[in-house]
Formats: sequence, structure tokens, C-alpha cells
Amino acid sequence: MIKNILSNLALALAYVVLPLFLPWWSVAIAALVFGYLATTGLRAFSSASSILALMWGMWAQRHNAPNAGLLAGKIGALFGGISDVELVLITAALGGLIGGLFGYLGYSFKKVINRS
Amino acid sequence: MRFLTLGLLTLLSVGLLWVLDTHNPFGSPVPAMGRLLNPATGFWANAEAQGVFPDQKLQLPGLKKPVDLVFDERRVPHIFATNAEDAFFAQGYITAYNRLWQMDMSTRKVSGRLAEVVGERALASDLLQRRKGIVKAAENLLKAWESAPDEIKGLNAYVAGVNAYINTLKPAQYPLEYKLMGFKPEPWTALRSVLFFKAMAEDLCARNEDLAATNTRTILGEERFRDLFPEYNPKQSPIIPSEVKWNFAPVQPQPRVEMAESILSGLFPDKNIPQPFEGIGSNNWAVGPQKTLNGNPILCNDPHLGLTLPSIWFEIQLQCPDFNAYGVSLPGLPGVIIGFNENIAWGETNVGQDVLDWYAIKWADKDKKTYHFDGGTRQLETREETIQVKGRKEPVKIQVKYTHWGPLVFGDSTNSPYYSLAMHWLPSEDPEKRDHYEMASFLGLMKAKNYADYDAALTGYDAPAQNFVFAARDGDIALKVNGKFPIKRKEQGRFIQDGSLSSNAWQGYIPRDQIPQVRNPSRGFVASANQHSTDQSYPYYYNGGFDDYRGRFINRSLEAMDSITVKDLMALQNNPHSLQAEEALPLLLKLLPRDQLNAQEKTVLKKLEKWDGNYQYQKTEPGIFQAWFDSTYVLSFDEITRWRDSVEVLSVESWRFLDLLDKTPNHAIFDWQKTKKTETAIDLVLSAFQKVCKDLSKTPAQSWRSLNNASVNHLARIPAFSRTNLPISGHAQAPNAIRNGHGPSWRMVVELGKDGVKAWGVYPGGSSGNPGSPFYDHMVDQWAKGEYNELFFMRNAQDTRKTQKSVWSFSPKGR
Repeated sequence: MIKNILSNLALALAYVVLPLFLPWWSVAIAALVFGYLATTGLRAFSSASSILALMWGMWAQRHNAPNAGLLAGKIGALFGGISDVELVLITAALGGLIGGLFGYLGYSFKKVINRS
Repeated sequence: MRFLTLGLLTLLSVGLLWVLDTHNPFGSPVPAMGRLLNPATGFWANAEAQGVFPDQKLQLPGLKKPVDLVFDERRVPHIFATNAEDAFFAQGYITAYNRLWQMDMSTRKVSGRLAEVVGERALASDLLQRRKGIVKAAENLLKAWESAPDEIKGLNAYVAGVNAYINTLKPAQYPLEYKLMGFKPEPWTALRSVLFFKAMAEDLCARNEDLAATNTRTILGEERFRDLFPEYNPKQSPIIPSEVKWNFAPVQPQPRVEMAESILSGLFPDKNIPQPFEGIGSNNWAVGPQKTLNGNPILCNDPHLGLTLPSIWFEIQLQCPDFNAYGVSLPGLPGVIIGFNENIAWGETNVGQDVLDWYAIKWADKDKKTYHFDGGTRQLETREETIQVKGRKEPVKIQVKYTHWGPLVFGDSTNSPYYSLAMHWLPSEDPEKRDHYEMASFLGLMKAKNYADYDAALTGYDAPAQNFVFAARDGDIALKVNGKFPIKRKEQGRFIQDGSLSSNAWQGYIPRDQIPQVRNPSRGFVASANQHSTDQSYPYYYNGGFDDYRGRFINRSLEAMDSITVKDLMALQNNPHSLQAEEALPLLLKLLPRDQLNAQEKTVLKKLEKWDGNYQYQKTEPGIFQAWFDSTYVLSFDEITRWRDSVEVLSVESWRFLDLLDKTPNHAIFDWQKTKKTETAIDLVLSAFQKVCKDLSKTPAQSWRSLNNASVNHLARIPAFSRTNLPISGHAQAPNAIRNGHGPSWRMVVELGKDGVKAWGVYPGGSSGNPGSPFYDHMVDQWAKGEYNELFFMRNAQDTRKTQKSVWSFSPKGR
């Protein structure tokens, strides 16, 4: 249990710290490694996905709130009239998709390597 | 099976990541969504926290001494340095901080480097810019500036400041548009600053009517052409009042050589002449102590340019032991362009003098590589230009061909009728050797204490020629039509000229002490609104048509005003009254045969009869009048307007149109070509009015606001970053000259009091170029309402008369 919490925390940290030094898609590498180390496929997918969704959603909102939705409203208008809150949710969902896919991919690698 | 699943999953995941990291994937217009949306480096990082602008301490390489930047409540930077170079360094840094993408794009556009970042769709524009030889001209001007030590030091410091900022940038901090368009900033250079200056020249002095005039004369024949297109409006109220006498011996231009036909005639059957958009001019004036309520001179300027976000102007104060100047600067150039200091104020409007002429080349060989000139032949020179195009593997290479007149701008096919036209443009000439140039003129104005300093500063300035207005605390007011002006014989350069004769070249330049200027005229004010510089007693030929309604209206208003206050002049800047409407409406009403109108038409007429010529945005009368006026115009000149779709033609100037309506309503030009009957102005005025009324019976009259659609568009025309359909009263021919995306780009009023200078200003934008900042467009509504900000002219960095919002301290980084 504690191990799970710790690994989730480590993943959350990696999601935030890696893109400060590496390209934005380095979050996929973090998810991949996490998935490889995960015990079940479900956990690899769900944790990598939900944690990146959460981190991105919170991070986006941390930019959005003090800006009072000014910029997100304009970017939303570029994409056919999406509101700033909807754009935060879309950002979170995109994070969820990337995290989940690469988390599960990491787990699948391990399965294949262990079998062969 | 397992391997297959893994393979597919890998492909899917990596493929998704690739799409999210690729700008315009598979040729779609979609940006790289992952790069854009990820909160670490995507657009979210450009969302500026409202109300937060913390103090900063920065160590920057290239600075000599510490510099303080104090930001006021509108986030205007006030720079305090111990030497001029550091002041310009800080200006470069803070301008780039706010406007880097704008600086990048405007210089890419003028130098033909847009396709490099936006791909194929900008290639045509790039090719044209390269063929105009803009980069070569900028290189030559830079060489000249480099020879003037003060100028190059200031410019290099500015460039170093811009680069100091660029060097601090991490991808997360790239301006938003770089993220949307998928490219990144590159180092700034002195050449790019000069290119920015050339972009201004292109905007302001590249309009030309040689081809249109040649076509129109061919269509109409000599006699009718002369009749419809006189060059001088007798009602004109020129910039320099008639009391100024020209006590000098002018340089006499050589007469035309008799043996050859130097003016060509012909029709150029295409419509692709590169023209900058016809602007709507600018206003400036200064009123002397005898005309103001409190005896202080007051100077006003509102340059009318294309309105964009980010704004063309960046407001700034620069202080060092050499100067303390406040005003607006151009993003890309050091110094203040329009502004004031403790002792003087200055401003500019554009001079309409024609400085771009076309020469027809007569080829001496089949391949069109040599051409006839003065009995001999000359060879084309070429310069290779390489254009990188995004999405292409190989760059596009072209050979730009130069005659000694200038480049062949339509160089794509040797068979094109345009191919043989060489362009001669004043800002492309090699600058003459001097000890100072344009940049030093602005530096000189920033330092100037009196008229003598102003006079000396302007001698270095060539192009784009400007009407420099001036007022000083000691009570002097002045205006100089300043720049390098070619000496031309009458009508030289009005039409395409024969390029095989040296006698068609410009005949030198008007000596600086003979250019039109006035100091302290008896009427107590000086003013300009792009009209003719002088009356016809001035001994040099002026070619440049520009409607003179604003000029006449402003001169008339200032003449009538007395005990003038700052508020009065603000009202004049914002005045939506069109003298064109004031003169045209009574004429149209007089000609309209009332007995032939039906009930609905009579109602419309009643409405118009009461209208005062003020283009108020809420009203419908301006739109109805405009439609009536425009449609009468088109019917009147059907001989010309029917050609508009196929060839470039001139438009009869509106004053001449009114003149004809007034004095010769039976003139043959009013006869409508399509009918057998012989129409007069009365028939056309009636027919136009009935058409307008018929339209009104179908769709209700629209407000002037929706018809004029006053707008401040984003530089890349992104609608969400633009402000459109603004509630603002004005018209191209009114002092508050607003037409769609053109209008007053900066309104400034400066009162030079004995106890200190006071100034007010506003522009439709904000200091920040970031659409994610509240300071991006915060002055647009204020500007539309005609409100001003009191400008905080700081005496020193500790000046606390107003709230200082934050301070940035720059210090040199150890070498």
C-alpha cells in the first residue's frame, strides 16, 4: 500500500520535473517506466493515466485561474468556442490519454520480455 | 500474437505522440497540440497572472553600468541609465520582452522571409519583396549608419539588449504566436533593425501611380485626362502658409530632350502592381503662445497607420545624462520617434511626394540581358536570392535582375509586358556620405533644447519624408517638410518614362535649405495633414495626390480658435466631421430633382437634409450619404470605373468631382456611356439616390459603426486576438480619420509649460504583445471613447508623484 502511494508520488513528481529539462513529451517516458515497474496492467494504465490527467489539469488551472481565463478563452475561441474550463478539462484528458497509453505500453513490454 | 499486440500498441502510442508534437500534421492546419496544450511549455505558460508584475534583479552581459526600469500603472517602462548605450540596451531588452514576435514577423515580411516559417502560401509575397531589392537597400543603409559612430553605438547596444532577452528564453517562455505557428526566435541583428525602418518606408513612401496614370491617359486621351486630373486644388490650404516667401535661387531641372519620346503610352493589361495599401494620412499641429489660454505652446500629433495588435507603437521613457525623452518608439528601432522632453516636443505626418518612378527598358538583345542607354548599351546585373520554404526540401533560388535604374520587379517571365519595367525608389538609393543619418535625427530630437537643435537634428533624415512639427518651451513653433526630395521637371515621374535616356533621371535633390519650412507664422499655428506642402509659388515640382479635406478643416478650425486649451485640441483630434460631406451634401441636394421623388424617397431625403456631416457611429445618415455619394461618383466616371476590373486606373480626386458637379453639371463626363440619351449630373444624382432608397426599402439602414467596422486586427489576423466593430465616430476625411483597419495609431497632446511639460496620450493597444496579458489591448476601449492618459514624465527614478508598480534592476554581468 505504502509502496503504491510512494510510487504514485514519484510518478507525479517525474511528470512535473522532467519537462522542465526535457521536451514536453518526456512525460511519456515517465509513464513508460512506471508501467514497466507496475504490478498489474490495470494499475499501470489507471495510475499513469489518472495521475497525468490530474497533474496537467491542476497545472493548467494554476495558470488559468490567476489569468481569469483571459488567454484560455481566446485559445478556446480559436478551436471553435471552447470555454477556458473546458480547455483545462481537455488538457487533463489529453494527459490522461498519453499517460494511460504509455503506462500500459510499459507494462506490456515487461510482459513480453518476461515471457521470452 | 503478443508481439503483434505490443507492436500495434507501440505504433499507436508513438504515432499519437508524433502527431501531438508535429506542427500541421499531414498537411492539416492543426498546430502541434501536445506542444500547445501541455501546461509545462504550452500556451498555458503564456497566461499572465493578472495584477502581478514582480520586481526583478537581473545580471546581463553587455551592460556597462546598472540600469533601472520603473514600470507605471499602464506598465510603460521608464528607463534610467548612466549612459546612452545602456539606455538603448534596456530599451532593446524591454521591447523584445513585450514585442519579440512582432519584431520578428514585420522584418520577415519586408525582407521576404515569411515562407521560411509559414510555408508555400507566403512564397509569392517573399518573391516580390526580394525582387524589390529591399534587403540590398537595407544593407547599404546599414553601411551608412555604421559609418556614423554615435548611431552605430546606439543601434548595437539596442541589438545587444534584444539578444540579451532572447538568450534568457526557454521554450516555455516563447511568445504565444511562436507556439501557435511552430517556429522559434532567432538572434536579432542590426540589419533587421534597418529592415524595420525599410518596412516603414515601404508603408509610407512606396505608393506610385505611374502605371495607373499612363493607363488612364491612354484610355481618356490627353485632353480629357488634363481636364479630369489637374494636379493642384485651388481651394488647397497647404502646409506652409502663403506668407512664406522663397528667397533662394532654385536649381533648374533640365528640360526634356526633344529628340525622343520620353513619356510612354500604353495599356498594361494586368492588375498586379505591388502597392502598399492607400493610407488615410495623419495629423499634426502646434499652436503658439499667443493662441493658447495660458500662453503655453501646445503640440499635437495623431499618425494614422494600419491599426494592429500588437500596436505599431511602444510607449517608453528614456533617461540618461544625454537626454530625458518620453514618447512612442517603433519595435525594432532605438530611441523615441514621436515625443517630448523637458524643453521641446515633436511629431510627424507623412509627406505625399512621389519618390518611386518606373522606367521602361528598351532591350538590345533577344535574351533581354542588355538594354539601350544614351546611344550605347548596358548589361543587367543579377543578385541571387535564396528563399527557404517550410515544407520544401530545396530552397527556392531566384536571380533578381538590376538595371542601373533599379530592379526589374516583375521578373518572373521575360514575356510579361511588365518585365521591362525597372523600379527606381528613393529609399533604395545609396545614401550619400554624411556624419549622421535618420537614427541620429531622432537622437538629436530627444536631446534638443530649442529650435536650432531641432533644425540641426533633421538634416540627417532622408526617407520616408515626414512633416516634422515642433514646439518649444520658449514659445517657438515650427514645421519642416523634411527629407530627401528629387528635383523633377514638371510632370516628371507622373507617367512611365523611357529608360533609355539619362535625361529622364532625377536631376539631383532639393538643397536642404530650400525644403519647405515655416517657423512662428503670423497665424500663430503650424499644421499638416498630408496635403500639398506649399502653394504653387514654391519653385520645385510636387507630385503626390492626397485628399486635402482634413488639412483644410484643421487649418480652418485652428484659425477660428482662440484661448486654446488642451481639451479643445483633444476634441479636434477626435472630431468626426468630414469637410468632404459638408461640401458634397449641399451640392447633391441642390442637383436632386425633388419633384421626381416618391414618398419613401422624400422621407430619406428629409433625414439627410438634417445631417451635419458628423460621422457618428450610432447614426444611419452617414451610411446613407456615403452610399449616395459613392454611387454618384461611380456613375459619373463610368468611362474610367468600367476599366477597374481589368487594368489599374486612376480615380478622379474627390475635390475635382465636386468641382465638376458644382460648376459644370452638363459636362460630357456625366453622360452615361450605356444609354443613347445624353445624361447630366442631375440624372446621375437622381439615379444614384433612387438606387440607395431602393436598397433601403429592402434592408434597413445600417449604423455607421457596422458599415465602417473600425477594427484593430492581430498582426497574423487571428480573430480571437483582434478587436473589431469598435464604437468610434470618424471618417477617412475627418480629423478622427478612421476607416476599417486604419486610424489614429497614437494620439498625443503636449503642453510645454514654463513650470514643466505636461502630456497626454493613448493608442489602440497596450504595452504587451502577449494576447494572454491584460496589458495586450487595455487601451483600445479608452481610445475608442476618445479618452487620454496623462503621461507620467518622470524627473528621476525616485520620482513618486504617481504609483510606481514595479522596478526592474539590471546590472552588468562580469566579463
